[in-house]
Amino acid sequence: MPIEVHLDKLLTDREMTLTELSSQVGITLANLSILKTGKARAIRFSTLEAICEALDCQPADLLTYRR
Amino acid sequence: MCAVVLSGRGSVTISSVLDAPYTVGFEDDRSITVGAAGSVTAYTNLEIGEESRYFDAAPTVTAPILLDREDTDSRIVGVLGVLSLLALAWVALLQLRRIVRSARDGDPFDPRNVARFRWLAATVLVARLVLEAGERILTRTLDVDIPVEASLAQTGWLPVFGAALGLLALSEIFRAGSELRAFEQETV
Repeated sequence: MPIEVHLDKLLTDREMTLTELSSQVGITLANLSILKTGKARAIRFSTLEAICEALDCQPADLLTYRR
Repeated sequence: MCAVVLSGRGSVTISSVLDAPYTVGFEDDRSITVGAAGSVTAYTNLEIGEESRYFDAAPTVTAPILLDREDTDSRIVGVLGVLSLLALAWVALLQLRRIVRSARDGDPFDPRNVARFRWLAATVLVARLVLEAGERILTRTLDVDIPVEASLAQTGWLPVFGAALGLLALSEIFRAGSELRAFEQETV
């Protein structure tokens, strides 16, 4: 998929674990793992909003489109 | 439905249609003769134009035939047919049970249900095919004094095809549903 997810980089920059993010945004660890490994087929705006709020970033920091 | 009946020990009864020519006699002296072409050739003691008009078309005579113990071929065919239909019914019930169970578990769009509906459609078709084959084989093997045609299939091909197509359409609906389910599961 040409959409790349940079969740692991954002987590590393903020020295945060996936488990911590999971408890902050209220999304299951399994779903965050799917997102992190790039296996997700779609992402809800509500999920994007919660992650951006927790990581203090923009959607573009999380997702990029590569041709 | 199948018209092969297994009753008692070693007794097999099958439904059959009498081949023309034949004469249908009533309890009094009245009778109707059906010629080799399958049409009525003579009315005996029936008032022409009154009673006979009820028999404008030649009456079809159907009767259960108890297979003779010596008629081994027909008995084997009858028993194999019944066993095949029982096996098919078992397969169909198994698939239905799994579909119902998945629905009860709150996951009716399990992708495996698509294949289960296809199995059901195939079972319906194969069951009708078994009856058709049974009819043809029994008509050849039947060892009776009068010419008869075995008549096992009570349902024509049209409703069977209709049922099979309906099940296939249902399987397509479930396929679309299972794709939506997969999409939903992969949505974060």
